[in-house]
Amino acid sequence: MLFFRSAASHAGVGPSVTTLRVLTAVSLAAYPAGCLTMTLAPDGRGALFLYEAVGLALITLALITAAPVLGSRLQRIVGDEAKRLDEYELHLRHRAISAAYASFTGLTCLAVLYAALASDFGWWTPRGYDAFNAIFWGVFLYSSLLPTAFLAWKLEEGDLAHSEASA
Amino acid sequence: MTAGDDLRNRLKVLRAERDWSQAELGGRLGVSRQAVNAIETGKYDPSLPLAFKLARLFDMRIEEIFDDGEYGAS
Repeated sequence: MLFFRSAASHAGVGPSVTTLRVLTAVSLAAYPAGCLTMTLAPDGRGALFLYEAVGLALITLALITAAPVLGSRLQRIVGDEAKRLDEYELHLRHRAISAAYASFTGLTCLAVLYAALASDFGWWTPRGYDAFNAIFWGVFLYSSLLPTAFLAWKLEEGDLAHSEASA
Repeated sequence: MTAGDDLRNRLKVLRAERDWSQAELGGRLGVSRQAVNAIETGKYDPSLPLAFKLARLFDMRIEEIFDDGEYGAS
C-alpha cells in the first residue's frame, strides 16, 4: 500500500473523514467510468472525440481525487511501516485489509465471470496495450484505495481526532 | 485480549481521577490518543501486554480495570 509521508506531517495530513469518504468514492467510481466511456466510444470522428474527452476527464478526476488520500491519516494506517503504528492502528489496518481483500476477490471473480461470458456472447474483451494498461492502473488504484475507503466509511471523525476537544 | 462486545472498563474514570488527558495517558502507555479513546469507548479491546501496562500504571489488577461481565462489576 502507498503512503506519502511528507516532511511536515509524519502522521499524515488531515482531510476530514467525510472528505475522505467522498474522495475515495469519487476516485473508485470515476476511474472505471472513464475507462468504460473510452472503451464504449462509437465509431465516428465527432462522437469518438467526445467520448474520449469525457473518459479522460473522468480518469483525471479519479487521479486528482486519489492524490490527497495518499498522504492522509487513514492512508498512513493502511500504508505506513508497521513499526510506526500502535496496536490499535495495526488492528484497524488488519480489518481494512481483510475487508478490501474480500471486496477485491469479489470484483476479480466478477471479472473472470464476465471474461468467460464475453467470449461466448461476443462482448467486449480487453485487447492490446491500451486496454491492459488501463486494467493494470485500475488494479493499482483499487488495491491502494479500497482499504482506505473501508476505513473512511467505518470510522468517525472523533475516532481520529488528535485532541479530545475535537473528538 | 480478543475483540469482544461485552468487555467494559474503568479507564475513563481512572484517567479522570488522575487528571490526565487521553494524549497524556497514551504517551505513558506508548500508544496514540486514538487508541486510548477507542479503548475507553469500547471500540477496541487492548492486547494483553497493553492491559498489563495499564494495570501497572494504575497500580491495580487487570480485572479491577476491565470487566467482562462474568464476575460482575469490579
